[in-house]
Amino acid sequence: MKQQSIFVTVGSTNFDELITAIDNEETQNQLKLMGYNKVVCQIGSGNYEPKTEFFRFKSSLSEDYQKADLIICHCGAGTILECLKLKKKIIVVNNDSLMNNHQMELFNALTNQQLVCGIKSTRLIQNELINKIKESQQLKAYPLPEPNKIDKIIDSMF
Amino acid sequence: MLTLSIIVILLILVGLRFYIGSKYNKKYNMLVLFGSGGHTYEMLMTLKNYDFQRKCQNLYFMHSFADTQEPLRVAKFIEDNKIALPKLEWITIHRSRKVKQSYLSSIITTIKATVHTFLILLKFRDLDIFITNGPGTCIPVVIVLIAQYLLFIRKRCKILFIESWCRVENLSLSGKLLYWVSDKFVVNWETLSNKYKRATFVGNLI
Repeated sequence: MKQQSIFVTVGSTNFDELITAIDNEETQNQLKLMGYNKVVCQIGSGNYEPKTEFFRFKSSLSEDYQKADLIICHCGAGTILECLKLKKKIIVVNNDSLMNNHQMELFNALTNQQLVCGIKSTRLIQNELINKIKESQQLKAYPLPEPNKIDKIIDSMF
Repeated sequence: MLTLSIIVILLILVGLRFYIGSKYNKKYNMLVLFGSGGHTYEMLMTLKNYDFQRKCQNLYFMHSFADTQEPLRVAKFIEDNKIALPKLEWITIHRSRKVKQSYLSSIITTIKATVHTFLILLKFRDLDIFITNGPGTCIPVVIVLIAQYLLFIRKRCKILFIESWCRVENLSLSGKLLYWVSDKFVVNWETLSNKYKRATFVGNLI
C-alpha cells in the first residue's frame, strides 16, 4: 500500500482534545492499517505533547500542507482555504470552545458541498475520526476560479 | 454616391474604434487596500490573475501602520507577477480599531484615522477605483473618498467591495456598512447573493 502522511494543525490557539484523539494508540493502529504511517502535529499552545512528531508554531505552514496527503484542522478559514486550493483532503473539526457563528456557516457550506469532511463537535472526535478519514477518499475537488473573473467585474463598473 | 458611402463606412469604423477603445483599453488609477492576515491573503488570491500591466495607469497599495507583515507579502506578489508599472506607490494610514479596543475609544480612534486619511488622500486625487475586501480600515477610506467627492476635491472614485470568502450566509460588519455605498458588491457564495439582492455572485473568486 502507498505510504501516506497526515498533518494535524490547531492554528494559533490550542486544541488538546484533537491532538489526544489522534495520539491515541487505537487511532494510530487504525491509521497504519489504512496506510497512513506518518503523522505530524502542530499543537500551538496546547498542554498535551503527543508521541508522534510535533511542533508548536511556525511562521508558515505551507510546506507542511504540501507534504501531507490528509490534513486534519480546526475550523480556521485561512487554513481551510489554503489547503482546498492545494487540492488536499481535509477533515475539519469544530472546536466547541472557540465557536462563533460565521465559522459554523462556513463549516456547513463546505461539508454540504462535500469539499471537506466535518466533525461537528469536540465530543465526537474519538468516535468519528476514523470514519471521516475513510470518507475523505470521496471528497470533491475545490473548483478553482476562471482567471478573468475579476477583470470582467472591474470593467463592468466603467 | 460611392464616395459618400465610403465616407460613411469610414466614419462608422472610426467611431467604432473610439467606442471599443474607450471601453476596452481604458486604464484605471487603482487603489487596493490590504488589511491584516486573512484579508491580504484573500485579496492577493483574488487579484492573482489580474493584468495590472494592461489595465492600470497608476497603482496604489494601501495598508495600515499596524500591519507590518503584509507589505512583505504584497511585495513578493508584485515580484512574482512581474508588475512593473511606471507608478506604483504605497500609502500608509492609521488603523481605525485595534482588536479588543473598547467601543467608545474605537469611535475616537476612527475619527482620528478618518482625519489622517483625509489629509493623506488629498495627494491622490486621480483615483478611478478603490478595491477592498472589508478590513476595518476600509470604512474611513470610503468616508473620505465620498466626502472629498462631495466637496469637489476629487472626481468620482468607484468602490468595489468584495466580501470575504468566509462569509457564507451573513455579511461582515464592513459589508453591512458598505452594502448601499459600494458601486459593486461582490460575494463569494451564492447563498449570500440570494439573500442580498444588490450582491453579485459569479462563482468563487478565490
